[in-house]
Amino acid sequence: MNQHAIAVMFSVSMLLYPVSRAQGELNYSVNGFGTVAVGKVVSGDVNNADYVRYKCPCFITDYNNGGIYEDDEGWRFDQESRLGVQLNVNFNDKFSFVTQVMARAVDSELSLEWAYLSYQLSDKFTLQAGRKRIPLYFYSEFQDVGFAYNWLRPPQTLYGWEASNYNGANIRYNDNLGEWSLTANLYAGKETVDDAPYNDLYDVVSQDSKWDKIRGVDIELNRDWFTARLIYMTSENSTTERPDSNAFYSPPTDQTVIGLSLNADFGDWFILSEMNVNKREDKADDLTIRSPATMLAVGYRIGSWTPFVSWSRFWDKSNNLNLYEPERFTDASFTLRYDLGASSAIKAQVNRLQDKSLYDFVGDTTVFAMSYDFIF
Amino acid sequence: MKLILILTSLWLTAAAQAGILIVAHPANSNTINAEDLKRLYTGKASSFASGDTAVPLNLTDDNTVRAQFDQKALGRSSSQVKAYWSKLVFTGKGTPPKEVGSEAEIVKLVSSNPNLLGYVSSTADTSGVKVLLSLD
Repeated sequence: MNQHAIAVMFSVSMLLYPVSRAQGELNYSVNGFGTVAVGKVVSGDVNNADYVRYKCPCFITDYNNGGIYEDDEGWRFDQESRLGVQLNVNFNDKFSFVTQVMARAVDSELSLEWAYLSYQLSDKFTLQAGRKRIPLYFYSEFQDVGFAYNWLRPPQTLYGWEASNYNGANIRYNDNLGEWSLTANLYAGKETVDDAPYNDLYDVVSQDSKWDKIRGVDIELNRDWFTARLIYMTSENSTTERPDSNAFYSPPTDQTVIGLSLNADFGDWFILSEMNVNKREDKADDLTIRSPATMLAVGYRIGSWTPFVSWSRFWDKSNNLNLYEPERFTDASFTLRYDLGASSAIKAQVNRLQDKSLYDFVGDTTVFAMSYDFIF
Repeated sequence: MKLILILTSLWLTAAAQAGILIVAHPANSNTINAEDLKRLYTGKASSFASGDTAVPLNLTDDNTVRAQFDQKALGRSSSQVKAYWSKLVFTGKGTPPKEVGSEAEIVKLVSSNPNLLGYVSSTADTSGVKVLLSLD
């Protein structure tokens, strides 16, 4: 890739200006967002330069979709650039349909991120069914929408797993309690990712990845400058045993995720934090992997400028080092965001990743990237 | 000449400092405070104290009064407010207030529909609507 794909993405974005139509009760709207990003590995140090199919020191920009900046590659446009288009259809004031499609420069296919029906049961309850993003961590549901956050990309110390969507159903509750506003959401479903890009980052043999029996809850509390979000999710994960077999490995690994994020936004100063633990239990092999991930970030807004520093850590713990060698790293970044008008922004970000994994992983890497993020 | 300069500078100061008036239909008997207003314009509430549906109207972002409203009512820049809404829009969780092109259009729409809520600069003509709240 591929200037061609980028050109296509741009012509599509030119065609899809904001549109909104109403015919009787039924009305629809088309909106979208996009990111053009360029980045490269500036410097680094690694024990073994050949990691899986990549040249390292390297930097994984997107575990879900397989974006990675490799060593000696120069500037790459194709690892993080993307375009999303969303259609909302309101059949009446209670019943609606939302769908969102993403085009990513890193792969050649369109991906369906959202496609669900929503029915408002009452003032406080909404029932939804279809394809959605897994509401796992704070930025999971809108990690493609660069304009909506300050990083060039959310820290992959937290946002790197096999699946980011699910097919299923959820019920959402909204309420205002005095000065507080509350949203609670219960969801259930499943997801299978064919030729999972995540698995390609760890193995030369492509695999399908399945998250079955996804069950979760997320609760968000907000009051003025303070936001807290609590999550709990379980699923049964498995991958195919290719090339030996297309069958999914059985029994599956039990996954449990618990997380808390606390954000404070005082208008000029703001502080963001997340603390999560992902536990994976492979009962057949008596293997338990606990992966705590933490993030702390501070920013300050000066007019249209937002300088922003962030530190995060991912720290695997394995009960059997022969079966599973822990992946461990810290990622420190500095971002400068500049708002161009009200609907677009440019960002520059430097990341310093320190690889402390117990095997030869990506190495210590410094990466620089710039982006243009817009909504329409 | 000096007088004109003084008057001009006073007028410029007044224009820069102009407040924002929150306007509704004359038949709307609700009271509204700054917190209610913030909730209505951030999608966290959708009704007046009476329980009637409240539909907020916004000005398009090429209008300078929009930026003043975002700052005074929501305490955020227009870009921050758009970033907030883009998070909700692209997760299917909310739709931002409908945008109209001018203060005159807000006054016209609000004067004909008791469910609408809008804002204008304190220097605008508010005949036909009721001022529910004034923001300095």
